[in-house]
Amino acid sequence: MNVKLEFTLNGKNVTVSTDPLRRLIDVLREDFGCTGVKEGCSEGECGACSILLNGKMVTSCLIPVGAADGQDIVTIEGLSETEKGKLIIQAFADGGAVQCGFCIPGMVVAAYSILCENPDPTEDEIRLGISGNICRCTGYDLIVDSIRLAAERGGSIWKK
Amino acid sequence: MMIKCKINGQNRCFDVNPLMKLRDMLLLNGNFAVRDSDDGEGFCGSDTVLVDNLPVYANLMLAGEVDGCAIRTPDALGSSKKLTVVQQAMIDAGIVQSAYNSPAAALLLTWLLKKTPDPSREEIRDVLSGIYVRDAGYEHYYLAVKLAVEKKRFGEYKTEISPSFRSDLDYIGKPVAKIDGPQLVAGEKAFVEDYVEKNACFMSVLRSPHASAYINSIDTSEAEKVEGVVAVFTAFNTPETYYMQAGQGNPEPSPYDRRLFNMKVRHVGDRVAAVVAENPEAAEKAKELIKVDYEVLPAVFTVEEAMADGAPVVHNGTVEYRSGAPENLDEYNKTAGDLREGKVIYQFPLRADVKKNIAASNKGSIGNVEKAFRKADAIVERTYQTSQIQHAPLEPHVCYAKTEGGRLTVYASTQVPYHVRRIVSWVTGLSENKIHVIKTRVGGGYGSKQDILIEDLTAYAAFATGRPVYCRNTREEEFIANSTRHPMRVHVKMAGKKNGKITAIHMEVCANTGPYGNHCLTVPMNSCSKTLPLFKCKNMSYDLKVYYTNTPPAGAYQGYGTPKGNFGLMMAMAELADKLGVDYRKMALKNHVDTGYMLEILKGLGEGRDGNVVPVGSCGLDEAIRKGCDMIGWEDTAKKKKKRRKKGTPEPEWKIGKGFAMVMQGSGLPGLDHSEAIAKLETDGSVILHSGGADIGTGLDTISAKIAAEELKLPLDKISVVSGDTDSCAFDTGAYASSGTFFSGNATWDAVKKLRVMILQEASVQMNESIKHLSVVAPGAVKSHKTGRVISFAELSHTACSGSGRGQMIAHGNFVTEASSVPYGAHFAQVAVNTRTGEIKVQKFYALQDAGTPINPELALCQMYGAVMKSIGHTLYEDMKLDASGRCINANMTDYGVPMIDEAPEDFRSILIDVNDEHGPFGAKSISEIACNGAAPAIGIAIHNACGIWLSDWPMTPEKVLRALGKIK
Repeated sequence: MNVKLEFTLNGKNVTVSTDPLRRLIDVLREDFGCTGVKEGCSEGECGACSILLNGKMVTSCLIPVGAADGQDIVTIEGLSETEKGKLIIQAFADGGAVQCGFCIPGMVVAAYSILCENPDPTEDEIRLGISGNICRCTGYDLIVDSIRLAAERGGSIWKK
Repeated sequence: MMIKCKINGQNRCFDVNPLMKLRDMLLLNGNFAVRDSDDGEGFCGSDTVLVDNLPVYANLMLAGEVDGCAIRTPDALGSSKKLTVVQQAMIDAGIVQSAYNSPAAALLLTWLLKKTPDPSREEIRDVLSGIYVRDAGYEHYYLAVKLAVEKKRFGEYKTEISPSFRSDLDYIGKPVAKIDGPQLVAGEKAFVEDYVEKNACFMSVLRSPHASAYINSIDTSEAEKVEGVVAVFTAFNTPETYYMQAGQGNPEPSPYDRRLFNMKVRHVGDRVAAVVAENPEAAEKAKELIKVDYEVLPAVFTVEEAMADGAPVVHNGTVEYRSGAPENLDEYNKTAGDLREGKVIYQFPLRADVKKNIAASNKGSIGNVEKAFRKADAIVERTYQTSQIQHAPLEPHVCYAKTEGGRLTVYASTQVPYHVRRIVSWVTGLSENKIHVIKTRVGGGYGSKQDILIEDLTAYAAFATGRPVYCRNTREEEFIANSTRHPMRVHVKMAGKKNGKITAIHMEVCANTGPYGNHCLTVPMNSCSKTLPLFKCKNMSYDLKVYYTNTPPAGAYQGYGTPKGNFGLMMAMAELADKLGVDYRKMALKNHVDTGYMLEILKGLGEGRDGNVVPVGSCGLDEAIRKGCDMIGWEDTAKKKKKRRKKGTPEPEWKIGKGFAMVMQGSGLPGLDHSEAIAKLETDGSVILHSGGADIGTGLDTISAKIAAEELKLPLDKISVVSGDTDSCAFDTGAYASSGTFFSGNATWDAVKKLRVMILQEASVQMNESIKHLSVVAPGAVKSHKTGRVISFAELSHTACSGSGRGQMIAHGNFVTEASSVPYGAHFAQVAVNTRTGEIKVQKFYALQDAGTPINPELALCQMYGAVMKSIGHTLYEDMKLDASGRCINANMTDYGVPMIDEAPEDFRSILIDVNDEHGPFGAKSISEIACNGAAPAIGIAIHNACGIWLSDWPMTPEKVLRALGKIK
């Protein structure tokens, strides 16, 4: 029972004809090749599949693709092309935030979400902001430091 | 998109968004018994349906997923006229109480029995693992299945449902199917939500994100522009009437410290504004557009913070007294803040000092406590801390109000219809004759629906807009903007002699009432007044203080303050026994009160007035302790301790221990509570009973019907009960303080006794015989012992209502008393404690209680199971956790931690001690609140008995066990 869906993916208008009950994560990975969107828990707990839906961070494993019709979606693939995304990724690399890396796309989306809302977050605010993202390797400290680093390096670009 | 499916055998086609929740689609189809208790969290199971013969939660499936599927819903099992074997067995077993998800459970059990005709306990437990039960506990679900299996196999029940009492009576003391059971188990129209009409508006409340802040201004202009918005209410356009939300007798021992909306918010979740709109989406959208200018203030969250020097003052407004104002009040009010602080109005003095955050206080003593402490052989002094706990009823707070012909009708899920009417009258300014409160069936109350938490605003909104308004709390609102058990710090100092005699007890109670003073004096008072009278101790004192803080609000909760006071006292007694080297059982038996003992301690413990010093009445305490000890195989704690010390062998990982606690409560509030009933003989000789009492699932209506049937010798199906309807019934203070059976039951008894006299008088006229020769005989007739002539109620009533008759026989019953009927009992626990992981398992739990004559014994047993399960939850799992800003971080069912069937003790028994009471109707006393008082101390003492640690705060988690064992820091 396919329906035709249209939405914006990483700035481009796309269409897909599919079952509207398929999970958004599956459509993004399988139909559009956005494999940076990772599947960790399949129940919205781990945050590895985080994306931006109309600018808000959501877990794409919990959303049926029908809900994306007419909406604006940005994945890590799109984010990493932007100035802000590049800045976060560089800060993560420099700050030693990345070990196995599986959680990192989701963490970058979370960091982006935090900094867009709050250009100068405290450690507690950063920890609250990534509370929906599980990292099993790092113990979070270097991720928190790296987000802080991205805030400092970016300075005024976060206020735009 | 078109969705084709089969619903209960009928082909159906829906043109809906495939992303619509399955439950919403079923509601379109009229299957309203598929209910929602958790906002689609997938926890409570009220939304259980079968899809292609597999149980699922309808809130967690989408309409598109059932295209081509066959769906079965609970309402299709059997109607109230023709119940299925499973439905009938559930009613007979006593588990259909508040019943919000009974239909869902019936569907699951039916499914199980089709698959497995004689299921094992494990299979039953597995099937029910997704069904949350708060009222009746889980134990009789096993019985219901057993009864259904027997009925199917043998055509009759082989297992006894419950013991029977009073062989001289026909209905009282016998398990008889609850009269509202069929309607409830079949999933028929019953609850507030079922009465909401299509044109109803929805109300949604904007809540404070701050624990303490002034509201300097609110801009609602953008919100009002949203299409469909009818009105937006705030502190700036609603009445300044001060009141409080506690449903207590007027004048209340709680301060009037709030308006509909305040200009100072005092907790995260406090009301800021309310949007009334034609659909929920518009209400939510409008809420987001309300702009609030907050001036954030410092907050206090614990009694320690509230009592500190220089602490922020929660209510820094002007204090007024309706009576008994202190002379220096003007002076006191000089330091009050500006108008944004509002007022605090006391009906009479509660020894408050709001500038120090003290909402109420009390102290008193008997004997000479200090002297007794000096002469003691041993003293135990310890502080116990209880946590903040939510009632978590399956049906959240819900209200529907509308105006009709200049009158306001309020459908309420409440324990207190008449208090609702009074408070709605205050906030709307309408006189009580213009307000009609209809208590529907109530999907769980436990004290939370003793408070008028949603009816005030919903009724006001309907009154102010002239539109029908529906409001229903989200589950998050149930936690943060409702009422909870007062967190308490209970400090106990107890002294004893070597022979095990307790010589002195001192209790210091500090309670946290949160931002408003609902029940602020009486809940903490109960922690002393329903515990200290257990002891034959000549020297006792108490000192209690209640603090305002900025936590979510506290209020009434089944057991009131008693579970907390009793936790402290029983734990202290066990520790004292341990210190003195005396067996705990011997100590309990030596010190507990018995019939006739004069309770001097009660003098200072009235509810805002002098208490009555009365002797102990009927009392099954001694029997409960002895019987329970035999059942559980009590081992002398002093000897066990010595034995443990002698052994040098390696310790097993799981250690087993036993404990018990004495319990007591009351049966309503003598001198304060008041109940009335009207009994009408209809023209065919049947009876309609109009009871002021509020049946909240407990079976009170069945009690009323049984009392009438017994007194009038009339079959039960010839009696109907209309209750909790303020238009047609007479006044009743409501169902709280364990008053239902005792007060409302006694009012019914008074009414039907008077009706019996009226019937005899009428018969005397019609039969032309002296009344002394006449008596009422079954089934509903009057017999002359002189002539042998029998005349039926039908004939009597028909003639009385004829063209030449003397009028319909209508009797009015009224009950007030100064007598006190106290239920007693003892609760026993056997626990296993894993000393490596800290895990605690309650292996056995035996609740033994004297309820006088239990009128509905099967319902009584289930209420005991339910109350014990709640208390096991409080003791081991449940705890509202606040972050540093005062936000509750586990305000949902999954994270909060109520016990499910897997947490129920494997060997779980409720036992009714047979004692007849002189004041209760047919000898009955109260049953359910008392059952909340034993689990915490019984489990705490058993944990000590198992591994030697004393845990003094709730919940007793594995982490606390390991910390007490010195295994973690």
